[in-house]
Amino acid sequence: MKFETQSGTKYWFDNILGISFPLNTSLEILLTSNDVTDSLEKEAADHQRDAVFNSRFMKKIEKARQYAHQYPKEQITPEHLKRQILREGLLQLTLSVTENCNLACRYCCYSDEYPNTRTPSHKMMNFETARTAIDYYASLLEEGKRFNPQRRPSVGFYGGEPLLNFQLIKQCVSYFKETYPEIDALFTMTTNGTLLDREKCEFLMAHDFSIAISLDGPEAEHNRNRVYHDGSGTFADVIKNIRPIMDAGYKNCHAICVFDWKSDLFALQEFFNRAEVPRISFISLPNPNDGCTFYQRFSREDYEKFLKTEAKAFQSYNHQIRHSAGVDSFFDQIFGLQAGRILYSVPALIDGTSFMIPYTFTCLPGRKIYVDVDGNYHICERINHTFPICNIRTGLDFARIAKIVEDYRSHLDLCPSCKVQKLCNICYCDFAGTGEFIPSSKICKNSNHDLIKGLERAFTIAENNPSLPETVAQGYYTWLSTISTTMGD
Amino acid sequence: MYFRLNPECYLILGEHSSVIYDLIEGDVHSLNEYETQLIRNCENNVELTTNEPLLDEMKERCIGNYYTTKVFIEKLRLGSPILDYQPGQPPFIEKAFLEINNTCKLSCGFCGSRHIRRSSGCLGCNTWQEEGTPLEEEQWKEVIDGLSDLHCDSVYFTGGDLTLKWELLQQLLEYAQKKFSQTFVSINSRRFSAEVADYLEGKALPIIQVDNPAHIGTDHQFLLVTDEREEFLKQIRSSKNLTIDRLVRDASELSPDSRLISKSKIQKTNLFRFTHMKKKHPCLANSLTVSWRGEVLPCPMLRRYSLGSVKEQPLYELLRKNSEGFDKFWGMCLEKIPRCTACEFRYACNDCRALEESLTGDLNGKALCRYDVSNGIWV
Repeated sequence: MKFETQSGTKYWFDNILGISFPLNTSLEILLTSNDVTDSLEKEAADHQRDAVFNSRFMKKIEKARQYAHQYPKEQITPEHLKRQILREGLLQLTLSVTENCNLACRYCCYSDEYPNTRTPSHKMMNFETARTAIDYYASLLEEGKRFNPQRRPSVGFYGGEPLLNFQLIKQCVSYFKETYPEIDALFTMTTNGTLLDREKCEFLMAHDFSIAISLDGPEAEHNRNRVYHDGSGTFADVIKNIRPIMDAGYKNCHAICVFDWKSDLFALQEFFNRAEVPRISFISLPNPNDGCTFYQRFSREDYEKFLKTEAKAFQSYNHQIRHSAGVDSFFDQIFGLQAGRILYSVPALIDGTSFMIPYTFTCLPGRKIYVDVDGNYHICERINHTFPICNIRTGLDFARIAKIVEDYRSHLDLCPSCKVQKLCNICYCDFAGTGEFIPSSKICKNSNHDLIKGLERAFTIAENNPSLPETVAQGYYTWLSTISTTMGD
Repeated sequence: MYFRLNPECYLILGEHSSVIYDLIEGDVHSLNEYETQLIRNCENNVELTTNEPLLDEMKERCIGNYYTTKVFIEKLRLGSPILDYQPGQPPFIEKAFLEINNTCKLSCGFCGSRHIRRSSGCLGCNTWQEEGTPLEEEQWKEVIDGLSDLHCDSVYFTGGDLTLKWELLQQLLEYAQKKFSQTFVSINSRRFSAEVADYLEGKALPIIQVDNPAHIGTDHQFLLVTDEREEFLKQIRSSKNLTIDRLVRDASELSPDSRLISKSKIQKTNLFRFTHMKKKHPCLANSLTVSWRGEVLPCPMLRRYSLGSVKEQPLYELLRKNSEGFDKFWGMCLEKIPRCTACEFRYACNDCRALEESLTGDLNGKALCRYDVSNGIWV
């Protein structure tokens, strides 16, 4: 797959090797030709000096491609799957302690914009359900110790807005620490921040919670989408509420930022560079899949204006990094980290993130266990609830999980021929329909375009500052490992 | 005009000189001080102002190429350098030595019990002057289960004379079937009968220890224990099924061209080996030994460094509770050995910490090397 940087340099992304290398005209001919022998002969005639290099280089590339790991084609058995989960999974138990929320964020995955997901309700998880889930998780950790004695588990609280069920959270933390003192679990929470009072802040800090605050930027940006039910903005309350945490110098508080096609990226850059604002752990546009209708509110002009702003932001960043590299800035998160991911976290020569799922950036179910208010288990908090992996009464159903994985694999029809397969960063939630996965041939058209654009930008950045992508990626993932056990996924 | 090394070619700097590792062809190219500075500048995208014959030669050999603009060269790699080393990853044991017994009726002059230094003693059989009670069959089976759960790749059954515990070995080999990628059995040639060979067929690969080159065959893996000089060894080194286990009294007695200390110790490179050696020791990484009395050691020849006992706790608990102890060996790499830190050959070099420790008294010591890092020459 060919791409070009802003300097006009052409590169070739080799999907088997998982890396890119510079192209000259004649090498391009060799790589795109079906008959390499004829091309080599033509090469020799046209460009003698480059011909020797190119033909040797191509032979080397072919040799290197032999190292590529081949994924197994056999069926996944429940026994095998269970062993893999006990070994590599169980990194987080997430309890959805309520389906209720005091906000009505416009891009919420539980809003009307996502018809495949559940709708908000007043349901609350009770302690019996939470305790059963915790006990089962602890029993799996005990069973899994012999496979992975160095695993650090985590227990997360989610919603709706989890602080609406703060009593349950306190009960769970207390129960866990008293009943399983030998398990050094990390506690995590994703909150909208509007209900954080001094008592809650002190509790969370006392128990070393990793606190993810949803914060979309300065007031105008944040309040455009993150609103109470009456439509009023939440920014002032969130900033006031997190101040005690920031003033205490608490390191485990971080921001999750969602931006959209009307976002002023330069305003976000200025805001998130302020010292009193939590560091960003995750930033994205709202998920466009899973039946999403959120983007219908934007016009073509909005989208094109956004693309121009984004391009301008990239130019500005590109110019900055020629002379320095700041690793905490907003633009580092958007552009620098993307470059770092492409250049340093893509698994080269190895299929996918798990040999059981060779394509896409999908984890094995069981890596996380998400429990809804009724005690049903799901793959994670992002996928809709039509793919349960069982419930608190029966525990994980490994036969069902094996079926889900096989079913998922069978819907990846485009992936074997995809030329940017190694760069893929989408997962189950992007393919989830209602109880059935959508084939990748229907999902991936825009993703491929974005991945190629990502390559162009990554190499443009790297040409200007070769060490920046690795520095940003290394710094980010090292920091992330202190606040999350699941690499932030 | 700019010049850059290819993606598969890594420039590794020494104190003044350097080496280019070609991870596909396997070659290791030495550069002197001037050449090092030239290539360093090239790798930093410094524009060329003069013609350099070395660069033309490198292009001819497909080690690097010229470019009209500044390019970014993404290096060939294996896996993800960021994701593969995150905390909490499940451990992976590359190899485990299981010392089934500590008894032998032979009286080999090079046995571990005589404190003889050997370059590959781990692959042979040894007895040790140690007190204790041997592990029972059920305890060994728990060890085998534990290794399998921890994703151990290869297992080496060793002793003592394993034929003195033949029934136990048979039970354990049957039990270990299909649990590991490779299973080896170390056995002295005097004990390697036709019956033993027949039994092991399909179950384990024998490593036959000999002290006479005349006994080296072609149908198995052999370990020749010898103190012969390099000129003699060169004649027989071509056998692919042969490992030389050199007896070493003192580093100074070794001939200058000995493979233990000369440039010959620098091996061909490849993507796997290079990736491994950037972060790990060529031998100690993710390896362990369970001794005849249940002690867990980093290596069969490093007897002083106990990491715990499987009589007290299962292997996984030892890993969990003594992760620092294991990391001391599993986190070792040549880059951390003081004499190797500034050596450009550190990712292609052979190294036996047990032998070095025995010669120098220091786990991080280095006696077996004739490379003068400061001057970039082999003395």
